Amino acid sequence: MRKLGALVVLAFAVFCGGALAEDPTPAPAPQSPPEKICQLSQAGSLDLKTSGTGMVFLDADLDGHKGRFLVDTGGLGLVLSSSVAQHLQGDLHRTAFGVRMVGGVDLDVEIAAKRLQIANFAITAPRFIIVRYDTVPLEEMGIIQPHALWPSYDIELDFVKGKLNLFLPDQCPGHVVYWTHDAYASVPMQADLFGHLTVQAQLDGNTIDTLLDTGAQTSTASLRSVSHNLDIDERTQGMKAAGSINFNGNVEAKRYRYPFKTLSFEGLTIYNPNIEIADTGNDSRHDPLVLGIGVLRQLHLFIAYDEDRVYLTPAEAH
Amino acid sequence: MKWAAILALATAALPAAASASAYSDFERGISAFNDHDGAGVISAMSAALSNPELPATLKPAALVDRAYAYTRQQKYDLAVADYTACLTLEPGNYLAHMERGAVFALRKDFELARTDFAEAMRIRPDLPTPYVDHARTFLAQRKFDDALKDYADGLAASWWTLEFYLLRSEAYRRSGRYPEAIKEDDTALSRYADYADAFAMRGRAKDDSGDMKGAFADYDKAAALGEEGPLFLLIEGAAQWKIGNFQEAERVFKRAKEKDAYLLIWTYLAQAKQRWVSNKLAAQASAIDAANWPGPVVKLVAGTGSVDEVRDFVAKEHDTELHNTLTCEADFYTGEWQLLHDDPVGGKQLLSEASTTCELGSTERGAAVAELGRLQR
Repeated sequence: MRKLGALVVLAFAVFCGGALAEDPTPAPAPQSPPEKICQLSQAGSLDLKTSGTGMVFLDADLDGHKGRFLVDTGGLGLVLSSSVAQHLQGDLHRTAFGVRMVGGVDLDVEIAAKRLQIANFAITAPRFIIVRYDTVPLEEMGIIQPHALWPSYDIELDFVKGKLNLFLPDQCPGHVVYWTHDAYASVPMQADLFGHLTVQAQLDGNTIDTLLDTGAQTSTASLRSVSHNLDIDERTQGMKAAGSINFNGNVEAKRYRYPFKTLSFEGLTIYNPNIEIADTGNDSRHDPLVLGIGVLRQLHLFIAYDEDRVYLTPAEAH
Repeated sequence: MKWAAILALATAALPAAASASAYSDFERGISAFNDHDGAGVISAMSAALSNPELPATLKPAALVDRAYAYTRQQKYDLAVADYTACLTLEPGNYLAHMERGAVFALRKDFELARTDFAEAMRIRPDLPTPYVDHARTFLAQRKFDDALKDYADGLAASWWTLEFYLLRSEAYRRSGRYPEAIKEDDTALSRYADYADAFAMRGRAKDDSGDMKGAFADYDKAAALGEEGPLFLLIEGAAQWKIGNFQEAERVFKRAKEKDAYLLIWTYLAQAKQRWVSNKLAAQASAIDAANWPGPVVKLVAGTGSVDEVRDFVAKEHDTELHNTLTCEADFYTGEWQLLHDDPVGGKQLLSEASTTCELGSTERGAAVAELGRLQR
């Protein structure tokens, strides 16, 4: 675990369960007995900057180099552009395990920087995987997978207020949705080795594994996957070819648009989700739907790693 | 514990009248921005920004998106105002500095542009683009040595290396310093032997200096390495045209895999010199947008336009720099047209104009000089 230099604890009272019952116009109350008041402990609240295209970033200072990092829940830990790496003093190392990106780009070199400062959080000796400068957007220093940086915290993404909030885990299991008294969805999730979050969603009524990926601008499902799960292919009525899409400068995929009607998470339904379909020609039946920032920005998320659950409400719920 | 209530959320863009909150307006603006809908961006982001509930963290993106849309509409003052407001909120926003600098450059306020680009360079010295943009303001003023210094600074501080050698080569070539240009290309090739762009650039420097044998050797190497873009084919084909190899020039232009207005014009020039013109030309020309340059020239060579139409188009261009470029091109292409249509005196006069008014290093200037040489023989 990385050390956190300046841990800011902003404890505030959040009433779970009981507080919800105080709402003058509550949604149907749970049947369980009144629960004891619990308190979420916020470990930090970081300004989440938004780009013109809707992507989200954190300002940072890496060994004296100021810039911004893309917040990428679908990313590979800490990633640094080679352009920035060449200005650091740290030694280069082979990574313990190589990673091959979509398109066959191997990532197997890392650099140990001295200090990464994000707001009040100082991370000493962070190790970054180096990617070619043209793999990340020109203006970004790199990419941060928030769970890789803060593995000990639950993470809240509030796109309306522009905040990435960190919470100590195990404070209020099942009662972390403090920002609204309205209904919310609570979805089981699986986090892999890299902290990638996969949940099950219902796309037009069919269950489909869904990766929550703030680093992707568009939401994309593979053609083989929607064919396998939803019986949709190139000949399905409503399916329209939309040119091609390139992954990491290497893989060219055919691109389609299809008028999906609903995407649901345990009762929270997104109508007319803008999801593209890509066909790389590979057998990708079991590839998850990648839910990008365009859709995720419509939601308010609390990722409770300790519970293996994601809590979701509409972005503007309060 | 999850409640069983159904939450509904629509991702489709909301109409303006339905906007219920600053955030929904902001999201509508983001969608419009990603859909390249400038009017939609301005409408939605203006609504969001006028709403006091828009969180401070979202304001810079709203301002930047609206500024970009204003820029596309050539409302430069409004764009500058938005970028400035963004920089007041985020003084270290190097992207806003770069964008505002670009607007100043469009307004020909080169000093202000350079101030912004320099600030972006200070904040993010590793980014190559501020150095390039800073240099371009000097190039626009034909201050080649200042541009060369910027490229040297970028080479030292940013992540681009090979690219800066080629940019320096280009600046040297455009200022007529061919040995220095070739030296920069040589340096790039010493670092990356299979760099097609460097062969193309070195070929062009040799071409301009009159070393046609050396130029064609480099063009061949670039082509062998896969360089087949329209600009490269135009340069290589024009070089063949300049030395009178019209058939070979035509072969080069025919290698193009994509439609290009200039390649169409030059295909005509190569065929007409061989005393024939393909009957496919008119059909190909009809696919070119006549409303944009060099559309009027394409119409001319396809037989559906006129010299007056070309001149009228140029006269309507108010940007001085662009007007000069179009005048040069119009002089060359209409000069060739008149030569090919039995008006050698008028044609020669226009080519003489092109040979002096066209910028050094431009394809049209080199071709005009070559044609005048042929006429004198």
